[in-house]
Amino acid sequence: METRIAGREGYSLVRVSGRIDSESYTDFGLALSGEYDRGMLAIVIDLADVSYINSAGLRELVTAAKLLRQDDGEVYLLAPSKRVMEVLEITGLVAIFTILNDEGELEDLSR
Amino acid sequence: MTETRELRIKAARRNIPRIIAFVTEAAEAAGLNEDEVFHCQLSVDEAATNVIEHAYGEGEEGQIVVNCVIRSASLIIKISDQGQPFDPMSIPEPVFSADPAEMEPGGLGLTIIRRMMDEVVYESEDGVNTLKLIKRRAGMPPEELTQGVLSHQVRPGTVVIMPIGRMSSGATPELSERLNAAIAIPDSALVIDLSRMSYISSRGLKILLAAWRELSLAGRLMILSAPPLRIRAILETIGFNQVFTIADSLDKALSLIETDDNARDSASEPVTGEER
Repeated sequence: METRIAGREGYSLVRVSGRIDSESYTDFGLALSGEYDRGMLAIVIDLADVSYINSAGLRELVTAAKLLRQDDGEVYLLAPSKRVMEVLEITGLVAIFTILNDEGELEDLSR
Repeated sequence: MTETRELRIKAARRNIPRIIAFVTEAAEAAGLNEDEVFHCQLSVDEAATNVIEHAYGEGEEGQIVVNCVIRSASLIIKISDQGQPFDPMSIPEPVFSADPAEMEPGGLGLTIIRRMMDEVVYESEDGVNTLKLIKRRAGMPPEELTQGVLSHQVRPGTVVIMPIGRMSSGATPELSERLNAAIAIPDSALVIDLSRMSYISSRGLKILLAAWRELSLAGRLMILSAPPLRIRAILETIGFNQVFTIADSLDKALSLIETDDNARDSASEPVTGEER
């Protein structure tokens, strides 16, 4: 797994690629909590290039969403890959995240 | 076709990738498609993680045994440990709330296993806990079904017909009905998956031959796939192997049809003006 973080106007964009699994979920969680610790209240996680996510990875997503919502912030999932989307759907997690279909929808966050 | 493979490995987080790789190979050997292979990978990941985290305590390193039974269109994965018995099926599914403070995503791994596998059975006996997972190829019937004829359109225009059990007088009307229904789909190609057929009468053979004749006159394909040894012997004795295309597996039959479709598509493409 690899994460690249870019600060944007009004939100952080965390681009993730590869596998979010038992070997990488801790790093994934740290990347997200790092953005929260910097005071970011909108985190966009680009999941387009994620080929695999297990429940440990999902828990990191939920933990981040919980943290941010305490401060009225929000976690957005950008363009989840087919595999990620399937896992979000069967676990029911799709209902608790705001999912953005493409980068065009990011413009609304900058306003 | 049944083949069994086993992996015995220390129940440690660092071994999860090896466990997943082992199951991936077995799932591919069972002819599961890419999505189904992914379902097996993720379910085994979750099951093995549970064993490592819950069956064996902190610092305790037991063993995990992964046993795969590969059949022609299904995979049985048994994951065993000798740690604390824990029936994952006893855990309720997680409940999500619009109020984020109430979200308790425990049990996510188990939800994944239950949704992605066709069957999940847990057993604990004589100190050995076993989680048995079964994944079937899409449209494949359960192993318990011993008689009947199933028909399944695997993609538009490609129908797989699976005669199960004995194709003798009682079953031949159903066989012929399924074949006719498939032939009636315009331009369809047929695969007759013989992997679970145990016997075929001369009447049954005539029905297959008639269907093949009708299709080939129309330039359409009918392929027999995965005949068990006994059935293959019958087909060879009467020379059917000279007439029919017989593929070793359903997968090979399906790819033959795909190749044929592609060949037709490119043949029918209009020639552009510039090439003249």
